[in-house]
Amino acid sequence: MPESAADSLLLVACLKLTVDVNALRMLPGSPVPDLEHAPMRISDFDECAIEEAVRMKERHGGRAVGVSVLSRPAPRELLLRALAMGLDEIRIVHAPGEPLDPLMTAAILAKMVGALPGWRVVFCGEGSVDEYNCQAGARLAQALDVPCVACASRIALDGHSLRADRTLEDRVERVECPLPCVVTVAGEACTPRLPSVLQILGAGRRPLVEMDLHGLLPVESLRALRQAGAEWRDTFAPAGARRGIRLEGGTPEEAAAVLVRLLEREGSVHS
Amino acid sequence: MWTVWAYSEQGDTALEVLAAGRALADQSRGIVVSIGLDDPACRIAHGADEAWRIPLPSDAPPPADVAARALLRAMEPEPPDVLLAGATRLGNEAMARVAQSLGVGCATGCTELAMGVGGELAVERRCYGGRLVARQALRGRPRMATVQPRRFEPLQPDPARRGVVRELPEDAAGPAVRVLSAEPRALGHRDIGKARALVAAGRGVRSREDLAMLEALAALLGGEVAGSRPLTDDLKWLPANVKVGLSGRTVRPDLYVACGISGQVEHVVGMRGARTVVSINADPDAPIHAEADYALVGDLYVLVPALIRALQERC
Repeated sequence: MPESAADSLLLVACLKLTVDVNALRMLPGSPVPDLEHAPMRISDFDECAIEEAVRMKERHGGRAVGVSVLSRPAPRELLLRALAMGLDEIRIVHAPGEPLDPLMTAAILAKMVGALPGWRVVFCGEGSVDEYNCQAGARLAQALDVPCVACASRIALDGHSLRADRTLEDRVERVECPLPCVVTVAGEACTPRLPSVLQILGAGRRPLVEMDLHGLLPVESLRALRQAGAEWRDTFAPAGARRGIRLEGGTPEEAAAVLVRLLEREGSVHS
Repeated sequence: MWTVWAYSEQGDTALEVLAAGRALADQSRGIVVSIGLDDPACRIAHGADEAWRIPLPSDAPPPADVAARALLRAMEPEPPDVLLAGATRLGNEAMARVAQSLGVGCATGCTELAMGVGGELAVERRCYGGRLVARQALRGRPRMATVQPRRFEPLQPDPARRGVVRELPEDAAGPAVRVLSAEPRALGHRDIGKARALVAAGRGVRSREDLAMLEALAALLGGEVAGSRPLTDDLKWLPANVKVGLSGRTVRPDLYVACGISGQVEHVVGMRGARTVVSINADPDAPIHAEADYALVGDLYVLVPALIRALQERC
C-alpha cells in the first residue's frame, strides 16, 4: 500500500458484547434463560473482526477504532480487553432496550462510523453468537451505501481495493471491491489473539469514548426504528426431544451390540 | 389475502422457500411468487402461482447487492405482504440490504412461519448458539424472513400446474463486489448436507491417521465423515466443507455419531436436526451426552472398533 494511503488508513471494528452462551443457565424450574445474571463476553465472531482490523493496521499502519452499541451496562474489563487486542480507541453508545433489532443497530452504527471521517474498511463479525441475526454488516453497508463482502477470510488491502475469500455454502470465491467497504469476517478466518493481563491493564490509557445516542439520531427516528423492527416476543429452551439413553455397564462389545440392535430397530441402520 | 414472494439464489433452497411461502399464502388464500434463477416452469410445478427470473450475465448466482436491487425495483409499484428468502449467506445478505433500505425488520434462519393475529408474520428461530428458540413477530410491509435450509420439504411437482412467468429488468449498475475466481467447496468430498449418516470427529481423535477408523465406521453406516471446528479449522485434518456447527454446516442426517466431541454450543447448533444422535465420549459429563439419544461413555478408541465389529458381524 502506498505510504500516503497507509498514513490515512482508518479501520473500524464493530463489536457486540453478548451473554456468554456456554455459561447461560435457565431460571429454576423454567425453560426461560436467566439472561440478567449470565456473564458477558465479546461475541466470538466480533473478536475475529477485531483481530482482522488489528492485523490490517499492523500490516499497513494507520489506526483501528472499535465501535459498539450497548443495550445493557457492560463490564469495563471487556472493553479494555478489546483495546488490549490492539484497537487504538473504542467508541460506545448506550441504547437501552434489549434485544436491539439489527435495523436500529445498523442505523446507530452508521452514524458512529460516519463520525469517523476518512474511514476505509469496517470489519464486523458474520453474526453475533446470541441473536445470530447475521444482518448487521450488510445492513450497515446499505446504510453507508458502500459494498459489502460477507463471510470473508484471507483479507488483503491494496491502495484502493480489498480482496478476500468469500466462503459460501457450495464454493469459495476470491472477490475484490473498492474502498470504502464493509467486511463481515467469517468465524474460520482467524484465531483471535489472547491479550495478557498486563496488556489489558495497559489498555486503560487508550481512549474509551462514550457518545450520546440522541446526538446521533433524534428521538423520533429512534422511536420509529424501534417500532419498525421485528418484535422479539420471548426466548425459551425447547423441550428435550432426545431419548437420553446411556448404554453403561458391560463390555464395549456388549454396548456396541446393544446400540446396533437399537439402531436397527428404529431403521437408522439397515440389515 | 397475502401475496408472498419467495426468493433464493440456490435451486434446492428456492424450492424449500417456495414450499414455506405456499403454506403461508394458502392460510390467506393468497398467491406465491417464486423469484430465482432456475427454470420458471419447474418452480410453477412446485407450487408457485408466478415465477420471476432475475436475468444475469453469467451462470453464477447474483451478488447480494444485485439481488437486493432487483427485489427493490420489483417492489416499486407495490411491495408484497411477505418476502421470504433462503437463509444462505448470500440470501441473508441480500435480505438485510432490502430490509435496511425499506426500514423494516427481518428474521433470519426461521424454522417456523405462520400468519399471526392482526396480520403479523409470527416466526420461530434458533438463537443463543442454537440452545434457545426465539419467537418474533413482523408487522411491516413486507414482513421479511429468511428460512433455514432443509427445514421445509419442497412440494411434489405437478407438471399440469400453470402460472405466470416474468423476466425482471436487467441490473444496469452491476455488482460492487467483483468475483475474481470461484472454486467448489466440495471438491473431492461428498456433500455432508445430503448424507444419510454422519460420523463426526472431534478433539478426542488423537491423530489424523485415526480418522481412518471413523471412515470405516461411516462406510458401514452408508455415510460420510464430518468434523467439529477444532479438526477443520485448528488442526486442518478435515476440509472446511465438512465442518458442522455455527460457523460451518447445519445438517439433518438420519443418524449422527459424534466421536470425541465435547458438545460445545458452536458444534451442537449444526447437528440438532439429526433424527438420531449417538455420542461417544470418555467424559461422563461431556455436554454432548445431553444432546444424544444413545450415549456411550468410554474411550472412542475402544468403542468405535467394537461398533465396527458389531456392524461387520451383521453383514
